[in-house]
Amino acid sequence: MKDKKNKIINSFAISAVIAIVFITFAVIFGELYKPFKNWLADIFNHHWIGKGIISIAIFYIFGFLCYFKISDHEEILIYMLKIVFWSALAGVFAILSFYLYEYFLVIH
Amino acid sequence: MTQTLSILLSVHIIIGIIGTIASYATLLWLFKRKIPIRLLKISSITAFAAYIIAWITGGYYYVVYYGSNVKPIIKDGPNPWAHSIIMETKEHIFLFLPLLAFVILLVVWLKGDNLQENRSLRNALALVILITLMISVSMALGGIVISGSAR
Repeated sequence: MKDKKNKIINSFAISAVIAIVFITFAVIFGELYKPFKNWLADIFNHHWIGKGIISIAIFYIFGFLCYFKISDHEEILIYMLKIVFWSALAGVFAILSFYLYEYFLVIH
Repeated sequence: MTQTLSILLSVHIIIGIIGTIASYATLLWLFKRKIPIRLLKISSITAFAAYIIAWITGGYYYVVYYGSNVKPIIKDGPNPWAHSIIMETKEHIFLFLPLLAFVILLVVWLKGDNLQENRSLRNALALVILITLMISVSMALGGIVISGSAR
């Protein structure tokens, strides 16, 4: 019998990783390629609102879609939670490092 | 600043602290000899709700007021890094919090009964709560630096 609880957690864990990767990418790419940041601002009134809305959409859409494909094994669940931790940590360091780089090393 | 905005900013700060306390309580209760599942469920849902409310209230203040009124003061002041590094990082890393809190909520509510005997699951969940707590605490500290730089 399939464990629906494991499948639900696994699918939202993987969608959290995808959303975190998107946020990190959108922050760095948006600063390096201004038309992308401006596009977000044009569509959503503010680039930050755009990043927030898209990340939530990614989180819930992928969370729903992954449910039909993802494994229901508990070992995968434990593994996925560790990936969520490492991706969040990597995202924090990537964004912080990028703004440190922008402030100290990029001449404006 | 209008009274509505100052109320929203106050709510953002208070509810953000409540979220941090709730995340801390979730981590603390997870390592009790006998895990209090009911309390764990309450703290995890409190943290999630708090981060959502802090997002909406802080976000409204940030979009409507901060960018046009506070940001120029900080950028022209003695500590422009408070915006360029701290605020820029804070506003984006904050977006991780509702996602992480929701994953924690799902694990606690759906697998709460397995946490007592499954040590690997408990440790993996603790890692996710730990990074959530670290981000939440850094948000609060960042807020103190930013408001101090705007004075």
